[in-house]
Amino acid sequence: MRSTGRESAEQAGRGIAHDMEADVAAVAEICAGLQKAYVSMRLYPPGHSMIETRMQPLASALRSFLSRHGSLPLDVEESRLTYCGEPVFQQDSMRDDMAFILFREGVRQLTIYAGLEDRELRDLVDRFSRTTETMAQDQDLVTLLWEAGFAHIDYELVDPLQLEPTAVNSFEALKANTRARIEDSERADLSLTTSGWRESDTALPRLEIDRGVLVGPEELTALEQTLEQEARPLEQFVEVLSEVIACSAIDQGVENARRVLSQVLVAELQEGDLTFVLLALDRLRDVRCHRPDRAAACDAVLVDLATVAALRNVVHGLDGALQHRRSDLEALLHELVPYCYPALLDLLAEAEGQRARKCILDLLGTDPRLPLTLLRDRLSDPNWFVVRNLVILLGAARDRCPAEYLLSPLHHTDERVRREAVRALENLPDGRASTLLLSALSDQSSAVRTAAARALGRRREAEALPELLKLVESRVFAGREPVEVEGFFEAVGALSDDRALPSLSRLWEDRLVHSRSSHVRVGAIRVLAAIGTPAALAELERARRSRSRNIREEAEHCLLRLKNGLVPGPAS
Amino acid sequence: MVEANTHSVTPADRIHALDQQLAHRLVIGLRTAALHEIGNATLEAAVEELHLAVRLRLADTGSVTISARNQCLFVERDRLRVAPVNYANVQFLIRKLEEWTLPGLCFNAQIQEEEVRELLVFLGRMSPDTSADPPWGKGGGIGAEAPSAKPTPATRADDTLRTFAAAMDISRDLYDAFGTSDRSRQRSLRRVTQSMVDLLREDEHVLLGMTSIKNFDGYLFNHCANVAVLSAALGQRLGLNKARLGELCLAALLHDLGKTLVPKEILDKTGDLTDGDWEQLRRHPVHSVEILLGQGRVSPGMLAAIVAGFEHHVDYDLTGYPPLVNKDHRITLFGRIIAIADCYDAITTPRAYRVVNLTPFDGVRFLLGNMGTKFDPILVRLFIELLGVYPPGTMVRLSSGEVGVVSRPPLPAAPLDRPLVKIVRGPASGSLLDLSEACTGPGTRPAVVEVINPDNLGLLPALDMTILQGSAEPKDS
Repeated sequence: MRSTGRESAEQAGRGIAHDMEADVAAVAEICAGLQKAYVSMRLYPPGHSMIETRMQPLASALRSFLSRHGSLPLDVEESRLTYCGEPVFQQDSMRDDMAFILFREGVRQLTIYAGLEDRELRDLVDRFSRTTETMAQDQDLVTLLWEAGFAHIDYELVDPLQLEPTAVNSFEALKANTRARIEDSERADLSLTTSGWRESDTALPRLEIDRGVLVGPEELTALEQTLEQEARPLEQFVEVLSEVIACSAIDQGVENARRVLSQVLVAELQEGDLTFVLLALDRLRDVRCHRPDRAAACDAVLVDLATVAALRNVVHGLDGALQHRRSDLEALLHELVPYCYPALLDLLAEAEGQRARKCILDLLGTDPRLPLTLLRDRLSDPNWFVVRNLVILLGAARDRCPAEYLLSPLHHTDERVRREAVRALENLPDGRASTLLLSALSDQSSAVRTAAARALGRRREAEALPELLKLVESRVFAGREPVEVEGFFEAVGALSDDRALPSLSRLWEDRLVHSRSSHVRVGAIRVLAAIGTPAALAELERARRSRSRNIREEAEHCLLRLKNGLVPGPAS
Repeated sequence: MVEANTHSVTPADRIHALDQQLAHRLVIGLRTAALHEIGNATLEAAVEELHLAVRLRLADTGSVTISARNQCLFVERDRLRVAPVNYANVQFLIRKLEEWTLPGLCFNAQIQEEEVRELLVFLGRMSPDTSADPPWGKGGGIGAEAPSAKPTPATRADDTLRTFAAAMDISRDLYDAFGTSDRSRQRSLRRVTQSMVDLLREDEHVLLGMTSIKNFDGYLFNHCANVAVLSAALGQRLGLNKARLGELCLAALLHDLGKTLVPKEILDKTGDLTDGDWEQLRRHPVHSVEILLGQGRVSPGMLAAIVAGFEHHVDYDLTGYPPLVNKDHRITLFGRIIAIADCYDAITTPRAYRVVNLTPFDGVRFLLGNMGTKFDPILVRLFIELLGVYPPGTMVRLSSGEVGVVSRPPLPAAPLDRPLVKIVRGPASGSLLDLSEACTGPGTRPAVVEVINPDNLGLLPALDMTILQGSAEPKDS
């Protein structure tokens, strides 16, 4: 059946309407896909499968549309996008709303052209996803789009170059003035002249101007390398901030430079990057040299760096870092030590790695400025290992540490702390340390008692001898572990002289009943050898005649060694 | 002939090298065709080289297209990297394709040497309004890409005028308000710098011409806008990408912000400055940093501006001011660029206290005389490549006796002392003369013999009057 002209027109009209509907539906699908893709990119890390799931259908829908139409112009209104006047995208909530973001940024039309490449589309979506409120302060969406320099995406903005009426007027005046100057040029005074460019002009370097090129490829390559080196502007920024701290004549200027430098460096430290921090510390040293009056500002930067939050990554990085990086980390901490005692103590408390713990202990333990009251005030920490670390540091402080600081650790519930306290006390010149060590001889732990006895021996605390002898003669001592017995006799040996002979005789002598245990008797024999006086030798001779074979043999052995000049001490 | 070394490069690198070679040969061919007749050995060699470059590039594909979009040159889908070395070539080709409103040229596998010759001669010698049939419409080895559906940009001159006005306006605004803390002001600033960069990428010379307008009443704002244009144009020569050009432009606009803290009577003083005055004036680079740091949060985009603001009076040999604590300081590229642009604009701007104002040629001489000490020598020479020996605005007397104003630097590859001159006195008054072309007679070309200092103002505005007839107001209002 043939259609009439009117029917044909109606059919054509319906066809067009149908096509338009289909196009609007296709564009709506694209916009929805764009929104989903950008939200996914904001939510998921790069390379996540969800992003790919969103990107692929979007790319395919766009390709299909653009192959038919050549371009896709989207008009941007406050809360929706339209295509040929038809709404194609609208969200109920403004949060993450693509249309609103575009509108807020001043974009009024976004057009995508045929030939759009996948990487361009991905880049577009990525740039959308970076438009958070915080980002917007630094790089607005328009800047991000502009910087991308898309070949197949265009955008139109509300007039970015609108001038205030006064500015228009002043510029019009400038134009009029310029026009007048050009028009008057025919009447200008031309009497003031100089000669033009001459090859022979010796005042100027010779340039090959005929080729139109003055800079050779090698020089340009050198410049390109400079460009690459300056890819991260933070280095220069840090340099300049240090210079401003040195040369600003305004207190507020110094303070602002210091504040910003601190912010930058703390951020870098938290990222675990030391490059600029070490550079800044170098520069601040220079500033101190040139401007001693700016030392306080330099210190303030270091104080800002010396926080737990700033240093946590650095300290945690010590374990598992490569040697050269570890050296950097240690150098940084060394520089910061005077500013970060509390922070380092906090970090020591949470350090799990062996290297981190050792590094902090070494740094603090060798620092003569470490305030010991800081350590004392933390001794009530509920964690035994924290207290043990503090005790190690107190011990390392030696003559600066009052013995009473170690009183509470000496009575700590954990044996490991008490043992460390004994070790610490051993090195303290404070006379009260001996009293505390003597008290530790009665500790419930064999290891602590042994350590205390040895400590007293090494300290040559002669006053401790009666107490030690009393203990080794006690009934209960006979039942102690050989290691403890050995430790006690080592101390006795170090402190003894002829005054101890009666006690030692009582210890080794044969008895019909209740003889001491063999290792106690042998220990006493060895102490006699260590004393080595004629009276002690006589006592050894007596012991050589003992009924007990092992006592005879031990005495024989000691005498032989004495004769040969090899003094057998209790430790041998 | 560049043959990619397949032992050390990836296939992508090889293609890229062939793309560069193809674009390079096309440019050489077009320039040669503009100068030489068919049959000339140089032209024939250029034809042969281009034909070879096309065939090498076609070895892996059936066709290859060179196109220009958004001021970028593409071979197929790959954007040709603009390095300083090939900057002039890429710009030349983009402009040539734009001139012919030709989105892209397509070379097919059956291309013959004869077709290459025809293309070079046609594009190189004909003007776009020719009635002759173009070689790309004949269905042979050369085709044209369909015209883009993208709208053509508004007239460049109008945009240039509005952008320059906006740059001056935003400078005034920033300098009046002592900074950029206001968010909307920061955005306006970005829009203006982006617009400047876009214009420079399209045609640097129109915007460069604007720098020869010297505003006596608003020296500081005018100076900052000029320094921004000159710096960004030099940065473009270096092959900086858009983002970095934007940063450079922003840094240049803000470089003298610290002068707002220098007493106005010192800035405007017509007599000699006292030691105290100098001391205050020399603090302005540090003041620039102080102001920008005092704005609260420092955005990443502002880092370069802060650094360059601090450095723009530190000389290449690290003398100058402020004195540096770190004697090994490495001045940033932006700092070195802005130092040159700042000095050039400052010394070529007429000031009431100068007995003799300097011409742009004097400015060039000053830069040359101080390269290696005050200024980076490579950048100075690149700056002169950009502006020529006689920069726009220079009034010159020619060997023909005519007097003119340099309106445009020499064309690419032309001698740097042979700019385009608008004749203002002489029989051909009002006409534009390209001193690099033969025009007056056999074997003679007018050359610049003398530089004139008109009315002791140093220069004349190097602007076409048609530009000044535009409006700084929005087109739709």
